[in-house]
Amino acid sequence: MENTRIIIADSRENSRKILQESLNRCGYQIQAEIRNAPELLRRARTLYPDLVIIDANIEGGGVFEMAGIIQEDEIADVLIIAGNDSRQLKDFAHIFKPYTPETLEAAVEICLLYKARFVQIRQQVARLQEDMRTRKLVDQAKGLLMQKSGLTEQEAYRRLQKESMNKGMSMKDVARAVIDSNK
Amino acid sequence: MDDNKKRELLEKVKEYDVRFVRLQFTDIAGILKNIAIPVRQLEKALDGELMFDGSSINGFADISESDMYLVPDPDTFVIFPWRSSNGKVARFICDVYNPDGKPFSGCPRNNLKRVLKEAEALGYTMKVGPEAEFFLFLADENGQATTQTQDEAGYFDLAPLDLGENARRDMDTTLEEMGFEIEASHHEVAPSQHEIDFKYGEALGVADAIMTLKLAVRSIAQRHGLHASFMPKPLFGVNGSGMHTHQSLFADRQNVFDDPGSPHGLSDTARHYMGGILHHARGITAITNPTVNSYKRLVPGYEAPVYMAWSEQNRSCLIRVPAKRGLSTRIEVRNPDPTFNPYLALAVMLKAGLDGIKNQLEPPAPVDRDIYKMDLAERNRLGIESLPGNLYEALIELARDEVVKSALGEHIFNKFIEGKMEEWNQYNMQVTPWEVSQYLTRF
Repeated sequence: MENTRIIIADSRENSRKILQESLNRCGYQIQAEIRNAPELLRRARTLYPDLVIIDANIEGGGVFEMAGIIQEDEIADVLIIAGNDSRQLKDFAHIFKPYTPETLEAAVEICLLYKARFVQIRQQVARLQEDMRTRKLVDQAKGLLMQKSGLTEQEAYRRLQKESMNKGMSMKDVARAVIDSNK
Repeated sequence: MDDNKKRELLEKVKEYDVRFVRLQFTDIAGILKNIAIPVRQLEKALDGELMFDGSSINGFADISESDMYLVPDPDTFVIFPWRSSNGKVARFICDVYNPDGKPFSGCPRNNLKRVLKEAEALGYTMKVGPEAEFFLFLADENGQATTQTQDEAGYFDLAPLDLGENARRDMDTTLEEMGFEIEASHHEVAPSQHEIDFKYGEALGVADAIMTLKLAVRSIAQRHGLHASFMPKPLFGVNGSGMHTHQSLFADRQNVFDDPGSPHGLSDTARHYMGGILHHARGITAITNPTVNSYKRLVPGYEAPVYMAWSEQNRSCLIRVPAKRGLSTRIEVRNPDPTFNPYLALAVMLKAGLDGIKNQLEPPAPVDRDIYKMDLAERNRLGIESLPGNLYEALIELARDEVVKSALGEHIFNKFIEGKMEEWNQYNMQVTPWEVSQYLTRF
């Protein structure tokens, strides 16, 4: 919790103070307090927070545009604090004013939880993509070995594996070397 | 547009879930105009059936001839890599047509095509490589532009990255996604000043690309809480922003400026083209430097040209000939600035160059010394003239130069002079802080 980096953006001093105190009471530290939209974009892009909490009345730019940019460019997660309902709110995590510190805490925790899960899933997807790329290359290299040296599929695979162990290279690199040398 | 191309484009917007299409064109003043249409109207637009009211565009048409058509150029289709609140947006650059189906003569893009055809008739294709300079300023608490640079902002916590560098990197990636080949991208001389150069190409495509680059740079800057400005001289006492324009002529894929056997490795064609630009330089300037502020940049001492000469090294000259030869042989015209309308600027420079070729105009000998350090007598002795000193002088020179006028056509020339004289007169009526500080207490 103490490692969580949160930026709050609110043009009104009063509501910024309420927000800050509520977060402090829940044990969160605030990385930066921001007063307007352009400053929010500048700071968010240099501080890399985990979560940006934006008051819907932020001045100097539309809240949905700001929230959209921060999410699309994967700078941070966004929680909007809104005064009233609107159609665009459904695209973002949000709570309504007035809120209790408990509501805020719950919302922040859900945002962070989903962020952690999202990062996990993204890492998994990246791994799977990498595996798929490797398999594609290995299949192609296997095919080449079978064709050129008249090996069976298993033999071809074993040869790649052996080469990989002997040279301390990954299967992917060995496969690529085989493909390149047969170009 | 042929049916296959049309089907392909319609499928693409569907595939990428594009919601809106922007039909873009550039007015005479060089401002990018947009008409946004929902995707369901795209087919009609591609058929060139989309009408708009031309009289609503400044300097375009009179009320009596207000119905005009936008005809999208299919080669200019791009999906903006950045999202807007309306989802994905695509664009086409369009030509403007009259209701009778003829190209509208007040459309700068049509006009450039006309001048390019004149070059084609002589067997030439014009290649252009621009260098775009701009400042990145901070946007204030209301989201409005300031002339404050990051260096003055005084951040209390240390930012690990320079905001401007970060934004420019984002600009480079975005432009590359849009099909640009970025050749160089770096910080410039002044604080918060940046430059992005992309690979040279054929004139029409490059003029389109300049408009696109300006739009992309400004949009990305905004996403970083910054304001990008292409104003030529936003700050007194530091270098201004130019748009140096490298140019060459090709025939049958050969660079006709290149001639290893000649002095400086430049062909007669190159020399005469340069002679034409120098001969018409005073008439061209109103188009290449079209704002009051443009002339605050064209002053001695800031790497901006003031004097009409050429050189292979010297950056105080109007034209520099970079050292590269072969296919890269080219001249670099250094006075243009990013407030120019690229369609008009390329048209007038090409026309002047072609006039030089036609009449075999010889440029004077190169000047390899810093002209900023010469006095008037010495410049006179060497026959080095100056560019116009302000917008008014430039407009007068433009009106005097029949060749440059013919590169604009009557409609554009008249509307341009009209609009710019008004701009000059408005400026002239202002009482500036400089005057107040100089005269208020002294008299």
